[in-house]
Amino acid sequence: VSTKSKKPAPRRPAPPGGSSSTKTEAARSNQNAARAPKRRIGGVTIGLIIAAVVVVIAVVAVVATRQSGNTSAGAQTYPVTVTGTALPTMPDSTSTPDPAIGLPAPTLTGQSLFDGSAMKIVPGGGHPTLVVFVAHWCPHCQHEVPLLVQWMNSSQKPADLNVVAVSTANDLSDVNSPASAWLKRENWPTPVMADSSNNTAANAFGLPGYPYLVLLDGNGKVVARTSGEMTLDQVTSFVNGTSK
Amino acid sequence: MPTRTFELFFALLALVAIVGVVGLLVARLLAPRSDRAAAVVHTFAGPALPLATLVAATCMAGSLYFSEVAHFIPCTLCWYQRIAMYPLVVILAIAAVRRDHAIRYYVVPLASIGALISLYHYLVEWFPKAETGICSATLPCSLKWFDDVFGFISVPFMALCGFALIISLVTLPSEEIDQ
Repeated sequence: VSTKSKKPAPRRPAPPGGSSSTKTEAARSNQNAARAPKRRIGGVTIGLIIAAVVVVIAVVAVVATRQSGNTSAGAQTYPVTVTGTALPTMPDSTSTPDPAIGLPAPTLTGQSLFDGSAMKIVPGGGHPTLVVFVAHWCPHCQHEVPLLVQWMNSSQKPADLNVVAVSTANDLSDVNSPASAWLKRENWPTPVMADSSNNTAANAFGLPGYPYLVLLDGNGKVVARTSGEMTLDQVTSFVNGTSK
Repeated sequence: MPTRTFELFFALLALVAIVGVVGLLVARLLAPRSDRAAAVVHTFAGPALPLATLVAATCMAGSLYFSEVAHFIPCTLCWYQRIAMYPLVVILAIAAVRRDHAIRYYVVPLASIGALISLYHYLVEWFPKAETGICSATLPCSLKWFDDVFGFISVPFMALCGFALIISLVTLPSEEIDQ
């Protein structure tokens, strides 16, 4: 980067009366001479201060996290069994027709996120079903869940529609964890299945991103799928088949 | 040792970096009128290159810890910041050994680009709609890996602090260049 001629300024003052010294250089050298001891002490002091600060920070970090400890939230993932054929992944582009429309959705057998009790998501049964996939760390899900809760508690939700959620992509080391505490805090009113650590349920429903909503008819066939944040009106339009 | 400990450790270092950036800025502004401020500038100007190397190396170590040990997967913007930060470790280390303060002409543009990307990434985290309305099933840049360290410190915030401190250090007056 630099040439050799630019190499370090002399740390020691030039010998007095040196033949090559100009007036300015001599003055600078004297200045350096006056500053040199201070700078050397300063460098050592800075090093010691930095080392001390780092040690203090490390101790604070260890003590603070040891005191706070890890909250035991119970299991957030359980094995999920898929019965039937998995749905193809939803296309990213809205202009591409969704190949899953009309296909029967698979049955998911797993456990509740809240208490670990056995639960099933069985498509069909004469009632339409809305399956909502959420990830606790996803900011869009964090925005959408309160809206969906509000929507489910409003008259906009069709009375015969079953809503069930799947908490997927769970990771206790991620933000807004554990998912069970988050959904309880948001007063999620319907059953929530815990997806497996391999996201078996999400994969079986062809999840492309979070949040992800799959609407099934009374025969268990896919009516529509969508991913991403939606307003209350958009959710209503989606469920009523008038969106997009 | 739990990941939370390292998150807090690096978050506190980021706060120290902010203090360093603001302190150096204030000292430089006051230096012409205050001997004490001038002394602060002079004190840090000497070991500026080793200090900047230390900052870049710490940023790189933190970045590698979060991806390789804590398994926080770096998103696209994280990779762009890495591209700006990692070479700084090498070129600053060489410049520190050679006491080559002219390295600032190479470091400042690189670190500035990194800082701008960090700033954008930080905004994407806080305003996810700047990205899309969807968290990709693969890897979104709006994903905040930790949100409980003082409520505002995330990985791009730490990177921004690192870039800012490196710029502050390498632009300190140097006798070789600024005379």
